[in-house]
Amino acid sequence: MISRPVHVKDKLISYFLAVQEFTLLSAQAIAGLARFQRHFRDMLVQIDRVGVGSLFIVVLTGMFTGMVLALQGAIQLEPYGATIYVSRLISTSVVRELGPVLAALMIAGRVGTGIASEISSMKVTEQIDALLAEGTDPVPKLVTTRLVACVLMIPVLTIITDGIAMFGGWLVARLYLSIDSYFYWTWAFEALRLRDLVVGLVKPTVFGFIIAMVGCYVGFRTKGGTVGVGVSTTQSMVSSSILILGSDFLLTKLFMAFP
Amino acid sequence: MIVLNGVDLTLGDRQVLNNVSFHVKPGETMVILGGSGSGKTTILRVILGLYRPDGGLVRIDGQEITHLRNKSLSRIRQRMAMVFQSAALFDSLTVRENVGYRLWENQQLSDDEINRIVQESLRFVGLHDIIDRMPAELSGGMKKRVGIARALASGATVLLYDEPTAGLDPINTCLISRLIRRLKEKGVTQVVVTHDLNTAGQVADRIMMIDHGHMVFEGTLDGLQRSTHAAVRAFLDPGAFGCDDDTLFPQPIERVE
Repeated sequence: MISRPVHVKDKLISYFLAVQEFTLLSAQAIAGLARFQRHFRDMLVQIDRVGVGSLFIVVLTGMFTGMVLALQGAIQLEPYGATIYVSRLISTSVVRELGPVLAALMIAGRVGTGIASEISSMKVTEQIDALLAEGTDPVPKLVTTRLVACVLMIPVLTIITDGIAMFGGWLVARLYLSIDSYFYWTWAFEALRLRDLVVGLVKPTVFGFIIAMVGCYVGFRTKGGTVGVGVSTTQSMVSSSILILGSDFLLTKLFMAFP
Repeated sequence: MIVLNGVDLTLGDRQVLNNVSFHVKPGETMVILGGSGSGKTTILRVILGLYRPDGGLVRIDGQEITHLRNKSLSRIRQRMAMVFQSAALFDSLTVRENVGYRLWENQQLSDDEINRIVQESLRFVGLHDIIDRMPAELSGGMKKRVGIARALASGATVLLYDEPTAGLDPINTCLISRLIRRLKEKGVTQVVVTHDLNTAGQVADRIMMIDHGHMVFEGTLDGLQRSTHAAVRAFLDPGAFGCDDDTLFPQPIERVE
């Protein structure tokens, strides 16, 4: 089989152009905030879809994450007779890392792919052209509304995930490890510092931006028919996940630089 | 008045329009004929400002739109409306919301007034009884008619149609042609892109034909039928110009018993 030569230069240029387009779309979406009153009703619809719609999956994610952490943590702490401190491990790891990242990955799967498939379907069925023909700028209507919904609701969903994870950990600690509730909750909150709470809220805000913008960007650049919709949906999930994990590392490193 | 003068457009590595020039007078219905991929729909998109030409100019009511910024283009587009080939109804909105979309977006009229206009527009296309249905519940012909109602409700003075009768049965085709004629009587300027000669004959004041991005004819239906241009003859009489089995299967099928 003869394979086509890979033009590295062309690939690099296309990546550079994609970054440029993504940045431009993000800037346009932020500029669209100036007209938020015009699309306020659309924003509420999106807030409901992202927030209320994702509640069930983040509750399940938090519950199982907390329960597993309690089980695994107890195994590691038992040889040192420190099982009682399992709640410290759960609260810090959930609030700093697992809560924001796991909630964001789950929401990327549910909301991000939904955004990508909805906008790409609109693109291939000429609905975006129809919006333009009606004299409506599609960016404030479709992108800004989703961006606001994700940036507002994903931190809220992360707080819920964190709370439910700590509750799940408490269930295992109380029923399986026989740890007193008073000790569990005292050590859980004692381990947390204000900085952890700030980190735990800044990260989901950034992840919300990534999920909304990647979904919208791949949706807008969809080509082809239903195949293109499928490709965009997959691309949204993959790109969002990689960007979430990469930015998580960068943000963690950044916050470590400011003790 | 719509004026295109020497418009060139290249998409990717393909020149889609090559020196296209024509004008449409106010209240006139211009039909653009041509085969698939000839550049007909692209012309509508250029008029609407969805594509910016590489060369030439496009004027709408005396205003040159080729170099306008998006905000100014949006204002020009408020005077126009397009009926898309796929109807392009917003599938998350009801028929009522689709038809009144531009009016609700502009926020200049009361809800009651918008509802009245929506009902009138739907009555004009004979679909006033489906006002609260979703687009997914409509047939292809109904979607096209709702698309026309949407264009009508917007108060546009220029209507652009992309293959309005493609894929429709004869009754729906006749209904759409009749609607276009009724709008012509109301003085609406219309540009209709089609490859259906019957529709063209029923609605056109003038006809323009395009072939591979080049204008090959402009005039009346009679003139088109008398034209000796090879591309026009091939379009009007495909059987005599290569639409046969020899074209489809240039190599004879060899059968060995």
